[in-house]
Amino acid sequence: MRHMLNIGGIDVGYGDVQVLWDVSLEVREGEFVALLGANGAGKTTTLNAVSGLLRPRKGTITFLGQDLARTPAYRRAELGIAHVPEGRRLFPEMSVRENLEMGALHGEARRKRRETMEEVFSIFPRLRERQHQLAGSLSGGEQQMLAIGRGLMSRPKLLLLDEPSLGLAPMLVAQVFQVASELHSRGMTILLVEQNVRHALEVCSRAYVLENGRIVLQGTGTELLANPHVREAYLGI
Amino acid sequence: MVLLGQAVVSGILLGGMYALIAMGMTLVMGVMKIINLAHGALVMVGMYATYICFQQWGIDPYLGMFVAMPLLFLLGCLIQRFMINRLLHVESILPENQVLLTVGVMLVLTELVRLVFRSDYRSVATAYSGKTFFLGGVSVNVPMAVGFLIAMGFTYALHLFLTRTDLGRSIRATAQDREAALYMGVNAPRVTVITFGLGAALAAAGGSLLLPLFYLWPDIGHLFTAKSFIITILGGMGSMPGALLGGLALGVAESLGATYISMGYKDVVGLVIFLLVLLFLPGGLKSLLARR
Repeated sequence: MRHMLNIGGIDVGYGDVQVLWDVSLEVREGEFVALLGANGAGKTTTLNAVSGLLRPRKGTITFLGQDLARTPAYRRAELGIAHVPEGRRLFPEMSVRENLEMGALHGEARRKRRETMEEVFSIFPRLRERQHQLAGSLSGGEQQMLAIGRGLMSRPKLLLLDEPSLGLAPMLVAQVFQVASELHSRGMTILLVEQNVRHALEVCSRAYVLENGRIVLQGTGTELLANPHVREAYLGI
Repeated sequence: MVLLGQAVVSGILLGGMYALIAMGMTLVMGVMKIINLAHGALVMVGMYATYICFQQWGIDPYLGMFVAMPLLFLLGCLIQRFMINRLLHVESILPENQVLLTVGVMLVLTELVRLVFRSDYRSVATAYSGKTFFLGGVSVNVPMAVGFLIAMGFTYALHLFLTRTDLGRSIRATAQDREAALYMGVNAPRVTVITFGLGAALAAAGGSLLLPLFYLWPDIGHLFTAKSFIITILGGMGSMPGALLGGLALGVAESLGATYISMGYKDVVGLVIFLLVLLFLPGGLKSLLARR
């Protein structure tokens, strides 16, 4: 399998505060990788380094063999990285449709905008019904659907999902995970960040565990579900 | 009754032109989260550009504005690109040092114009300057009516641009969530440059429309900075429909003040409204619209 994303020993921080210490991980084409950990472990920071909002002080990030060190954040969507951010981060005063259109600004995605929007509507029929409504007026679950749909609009090669289950009712959480694994089974490569460890391990192919900014464990979903440390610290068994 | 109608009509006409200027400030406010205190100075520079066109080549102000607008667009882009954006990366005691920078820009522009044109009052005298027509008993000043119509035309064009084009939507997206816009692949630094250019071009447009109605001198910019600031607050910061309503409201309020209190107090009316809005309706007209 081809390497999609390769993070090699990055240190990342905000100002004087270093958050990530020598983090390395890889995502191969077609994989569903989860990055797990508690609040403040550095999961979102890792994703923001991939999408270019933060610059590593040390280490490299390569995407499909290309070093991203000199690629500004706004060029990374075009390369095929779609970031579905934590807290959804929709454009609240734009309609559902406009939010989706904002997901497809460049190149092929822009040319195939209508087509992709139809695909997104077929995955999330609710969004079709609400397409002229303002994004800020949607319910939490619908907003999450829109955030994922907006990410898909760029026809990405790699989908970064940051805490998609955050703040959702249990039924909606299950739905979000179901959508993620459906996308994966259609061939999408996914890097998922989650605090909902059990759910994430059940759907992913491989996972990494971050603690205090360092990768402490990695393995397949089943391996980690059986791991005594994971069971005690994250599953409460 | 006729007097009231007269005051309201001329207030609305004038307010439409104020609104155009204020929309420029609102655009910049939305994307950069700063009040551009050089906005009035940009109006003033735009007015001088149109004035020169008229004085040197006899170009009508309504055509001259199409010279002033691209010029000011360029000036705005340069200010954002080489001055304001540079400050974004500077760590200092005051996070609002971009606002202070715009004060500096305002001073430099005003004094440069004074150096060239002196502080003399100037005005353009066109064939239609003093013309009026009657609309059901209310007399309407021709340059006011034309200026209002052109201003509304620009407002509509701006609305189409912001809602129908990718660049316009990117501007709104950047204003609503800059980071999310970056995730989507919006070149946010470029968007800020274009936005500031656009804001300056709107300032020039509004200024040119007001040129047949106002005396022109280098310090007239302060008047427009104050008016746009009042309108921006009145409308609810960053809201375009709010800016339009705010502009019309300020125009009418000033006109009523000039008619029923005294010509000399018309600017006081605007400032009193400004204070009242800050005290009792801090979200501006936008918050009233949202409450529906």
